[in-house]
Amino acid sequence: MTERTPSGALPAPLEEAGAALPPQSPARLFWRAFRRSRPAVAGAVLLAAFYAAALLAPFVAPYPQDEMDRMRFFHPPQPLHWRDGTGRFHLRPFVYATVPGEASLEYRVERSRIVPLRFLVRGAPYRLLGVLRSDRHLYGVAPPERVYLMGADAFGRDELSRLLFGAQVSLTVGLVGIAISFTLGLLLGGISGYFGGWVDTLIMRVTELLLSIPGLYLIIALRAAFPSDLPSQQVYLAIVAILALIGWAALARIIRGMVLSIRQQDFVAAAEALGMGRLRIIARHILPNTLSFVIVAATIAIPGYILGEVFLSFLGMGVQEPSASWGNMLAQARSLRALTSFPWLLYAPATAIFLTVMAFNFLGDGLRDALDPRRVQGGRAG
Amino acid sequence: MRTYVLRRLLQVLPLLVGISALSFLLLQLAPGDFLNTVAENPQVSTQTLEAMRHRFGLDRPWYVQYALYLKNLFLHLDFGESFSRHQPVFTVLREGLLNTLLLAAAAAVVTWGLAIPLGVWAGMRHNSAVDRGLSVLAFVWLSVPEVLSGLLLLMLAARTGWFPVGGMRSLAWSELDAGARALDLLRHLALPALVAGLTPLAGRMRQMRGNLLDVLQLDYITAARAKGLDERTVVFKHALRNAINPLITLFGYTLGSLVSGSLVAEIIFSWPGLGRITYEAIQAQDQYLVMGSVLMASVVLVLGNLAADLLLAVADPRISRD
Amino acid sequence: MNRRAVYLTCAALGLGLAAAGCGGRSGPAGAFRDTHPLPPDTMTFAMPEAGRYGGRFVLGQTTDPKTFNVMLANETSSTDVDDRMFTSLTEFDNATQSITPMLAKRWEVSPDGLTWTWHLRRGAAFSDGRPITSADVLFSFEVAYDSTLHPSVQDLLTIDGKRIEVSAPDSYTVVTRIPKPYALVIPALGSLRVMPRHVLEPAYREGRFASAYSVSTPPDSIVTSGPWRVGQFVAKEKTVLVRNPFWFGVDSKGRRLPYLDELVWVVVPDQNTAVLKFESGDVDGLDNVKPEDYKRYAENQQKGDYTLYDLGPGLTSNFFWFNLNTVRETKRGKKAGSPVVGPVKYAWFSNPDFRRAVSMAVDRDAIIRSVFFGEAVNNWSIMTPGYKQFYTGYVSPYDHDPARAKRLLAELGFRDRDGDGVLEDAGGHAVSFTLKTNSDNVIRIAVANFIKDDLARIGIRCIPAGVDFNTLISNIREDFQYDAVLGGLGAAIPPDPGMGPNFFRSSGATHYWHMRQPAPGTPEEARVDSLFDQLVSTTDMERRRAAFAEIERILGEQCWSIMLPTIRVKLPVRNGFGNIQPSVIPHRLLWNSDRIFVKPGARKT
Repeated sequence: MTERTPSGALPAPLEEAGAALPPQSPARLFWRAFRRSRPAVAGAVLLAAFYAAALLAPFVAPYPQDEMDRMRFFHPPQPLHWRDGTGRFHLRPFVYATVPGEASLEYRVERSRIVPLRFLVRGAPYRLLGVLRSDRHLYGVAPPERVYLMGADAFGRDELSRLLFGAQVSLTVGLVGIAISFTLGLLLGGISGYFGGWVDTLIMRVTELLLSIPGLYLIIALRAAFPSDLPSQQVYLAIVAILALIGWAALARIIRGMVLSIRQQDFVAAAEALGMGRLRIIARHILPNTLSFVIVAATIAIPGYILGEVFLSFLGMGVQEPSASWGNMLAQARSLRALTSFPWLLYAPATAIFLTVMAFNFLGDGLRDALDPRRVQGGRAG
Repeated sequence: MRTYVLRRLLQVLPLLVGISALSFLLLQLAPGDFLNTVAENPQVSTQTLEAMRHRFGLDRPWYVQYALYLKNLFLHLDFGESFSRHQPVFTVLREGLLNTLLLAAAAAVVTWGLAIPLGVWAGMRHNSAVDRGLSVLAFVWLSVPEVLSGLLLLMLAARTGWFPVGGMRSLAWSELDAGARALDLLRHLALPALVAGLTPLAGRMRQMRGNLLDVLQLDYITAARAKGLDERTVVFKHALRNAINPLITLFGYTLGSLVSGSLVAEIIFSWPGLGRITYEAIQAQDQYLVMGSVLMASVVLVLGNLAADLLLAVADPRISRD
Repeated sequence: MNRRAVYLTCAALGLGLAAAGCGGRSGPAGAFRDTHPLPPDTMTFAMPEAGRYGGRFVLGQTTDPKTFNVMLANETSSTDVDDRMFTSLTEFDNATQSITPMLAKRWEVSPDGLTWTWHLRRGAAFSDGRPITSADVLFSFEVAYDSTLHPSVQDLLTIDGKRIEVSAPDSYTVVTRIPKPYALVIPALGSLRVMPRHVLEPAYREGRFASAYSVSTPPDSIVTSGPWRVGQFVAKEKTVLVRNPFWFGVDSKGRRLPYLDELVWVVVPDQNTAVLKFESGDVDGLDNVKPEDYKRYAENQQKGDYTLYDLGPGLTSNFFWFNLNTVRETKRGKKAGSPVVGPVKYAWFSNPDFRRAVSMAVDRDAIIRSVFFGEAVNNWSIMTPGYKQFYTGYVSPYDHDPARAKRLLAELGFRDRDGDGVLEDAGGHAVSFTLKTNSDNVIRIAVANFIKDDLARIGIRCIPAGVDFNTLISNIREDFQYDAVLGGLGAAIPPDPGMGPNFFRSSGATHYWHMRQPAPGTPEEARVDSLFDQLVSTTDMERRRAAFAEIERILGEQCWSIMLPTIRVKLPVRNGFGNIQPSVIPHRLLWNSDRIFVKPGARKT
């Protein structure tokens, strides 16, 4: 059977002769296909950058997430400049100093005072990844001035720093959530759809039970159960893990439906006839055909977890102050006063969430295109 | 087929008992009870609270309360009484149910009515400007939380006056004639339905697009193309049927959530639905009202699942019923 | 009746035509004609100006009333509405801040101050035309004292554990006898709403009172004694009250009140939506506004044709306290009588100097600037500056002074022994505690955040913990599972400290830091108890004020509750209404609902 290349053209005679080229391993094929999609690569790079920044947040951020500045409540963002008022070009980017304005919560820019940005500055001490002690930060300015590239919130805390620390929770939440719920959902949905009978009935009834539990109430009860001096980010992650342990139910149902149709195909009968183990058939032959759907579902689920925290913060049940998360930063921006007087409170978390969502989706698209067995092998399953 | 349906319906009963037990247990997990809000008033004495506790039956152990609840439910179809409203639970829920269904139906129209055509369009024009444009739009909607989009749309409504600022009906609704009433309802429905419907829209659209792209790679599609059929026929007559399959089951499974309502849309747009009733009941620990709401949602969920499973069997004849 | 139909049709047409989404406000005024003869004993209300009939006033509320049974209503969403429908012997005039006669036209007190004779208005009638007599008052007392129903008003009517003896020598006279001199007899009796015996007695005798006058009762069956009765109720959407045609209140020209045809509440759960609804004209007034929105309201007064009334500091006090409660019964390894928080923390919390140091750490000015956007004032007493009669101007000696706080802690033996920035006590324990508050209250969460930062500057680690409201109440009242809580106290009507025995008395159920003590645990609390007795047992205002001033001083010295700023209340009300007299005392906008009217030439939105 002649193999067609993905573009549908016939292979060159040299390759058909099977002469010089070594066979390409699936991993290599995957890489080549993946690299071809530029948005996917961009998404992957962006996500890598975000995760790295989140991991190194204490270093990248100029200030700790809960450091207040009582003279700078609601300070607007300070744009970076390279050219000052006289037209002179500075090598080092700088911001203008500000002083309190006439009205409370207003600030006036003083173009005469230039505050240059410094790199690898000394600041608040921290432990990187829990082990490395340091007090160097990626950038900062000489005290007593402060630099708020994205503005400050109601407590005078730097939005950019909070964004970075908040990324630690928000970026983890999605991965933890789908790791647990997708694994369980795929496994149990696959088993349910493949075996049928009482196994199917049992699993499906359990999913209905789980899906009926009022999630909000579960959250309230869980929050009451945790001791109150645990850092709220940890509590939140624990809650997400628990929710995912219940959340597999929805995916399982859909996977089961898909497995039911896939099960009827010839290649499955062939595998069974060959005496392959049941679980192996499910895991290696049936489930991969759901991969495309699953990847899209994952790229939708991850932002779902991030935004779920926004909803919880809206009700007062998300990550608590003073810990930062994109959800509670967005919730703070969500009032008429904030939107009209302090819009930067919205821009920081909204942009971060948007970029993350886009990156995950482009990455998902690229993965789908690269991994899909039907794509690579021109239309046959298995 | 008939025995299958019958068997499924029989399984509903033990399921509901299980759900009610689980919910009741959860309610007991959270400390305190309904009388906490009353207790906060410094003018209320302990004796008053004790008497109220006795009147509501909250001084009994939880298993006694639950047993009584089950007895009333199955023997008398009595869902209990709402503590905060001094009304039967069923009465309270019934009023909110219709409003929630209205909003949910409108939101579903927005979601599915747009997701399928847009997803198909994007899939057909894979990697074109249309596809990329729709994708970016989907990302925007995926990243905007309801709590924010609701507020922004409300601000728009207030500024332009095209839509009312929340609520379900105008103050003088009862004096309007049927035609004006319908129009009034539609105008109030537009924004909350948009907010509640656009949020899942992005996901469904991308799933539709993804499914279509997969199906378009299959052999039989290539065969159809080779036969000389135009792209339209290929997509709509052959590919769509398979591509839409998982989404149909998805639709059935989401029927259950129709009844729980969109809490955010209801709060922001002052829509009088079940979501808010349930949430306030949860906050007040008005336990029988919460239970009633959970049971109602469960019944719809279970029936929705049954419908989805039947739809699946119909749509894909290869699936055998055991 | 014909006229009413015409009026309603005009209103409907007008509203139908206003398709741009405005909520219609008022129909043609003057359409109401009083068809019933006035009773012999009318109540002439004092008011800034005489008004005219017609129109409606629309208010927003966050949730709808749960019941129309005023005797059993416990939440403000219900009492806001129900209190407008039922009258009582006396009422409180928010403008003059004094008691006025209502159902009782006059009363006499016996020389020993124990027997009060109330003379009811002749001809006062319920909304179905039946006369209100002393039998109804007696019936209302009976329901109030019912031990099964146990309405919360019963506590106000119980003096020293004993009930008030009530009797009715004739149809228009009620005699009450109290067991011992009590300063708040009139407000206590004023909180008893008069309910119709001829409608509710059968239900009460058959044990159905709790479900009588529920929200699903047909409006026409709800017979009321006040200026209004139920017109329409749509669950979770709106409540409409219409005038009681038999109300005995009249204006200076002898015309029967109320002026307005309708009083409407629209349910708007979200604060931001409420602002937008007010601006778009759907709502005429809001009685609960966040300080962050004051600026927006102030700037748009011209454009929106409304007035933002600045009422000064409100009646709500905010504070936080430490848990000094003791274990009730021995269990789980804790002996009865031992402190719930354990010996280590109790040693800190129970020391007044520790509490004073904490009070001196708090930078209240920053809280005012950030959390309240400048719209708050420092407050040092439960009797805030809004309590005109009892406000003493007392200023605590323990305001923001971190240096002094540090010195005080050092004197107590706290030192940072390990250099981590947190003080340790003599036993080496790091001074750390959690501060709980309700997680859905954004303002309190923000304040807790500031307190955390303030305390960190003097070396104390405070961990804010947002907790779900009901859980918090359980923690405060039942299991005492907390270190410190940030909470507050709302207003009482009338604004008198005597209305809050449960807070001030050491035996009280809301004496937060150490509730329901069998005997006062500290000499200072014993002193407060006896001062409070003085406060409620004499009617001499000077002596009462002196007693309260002393209570206030002791509370300020002991810092059991560490006081925080109080919000300045500002309320927006649409122009074009007459006799609008907003007040910090509830009900802030509708305390004189029957005197509000629509001015001629009022702007239609």
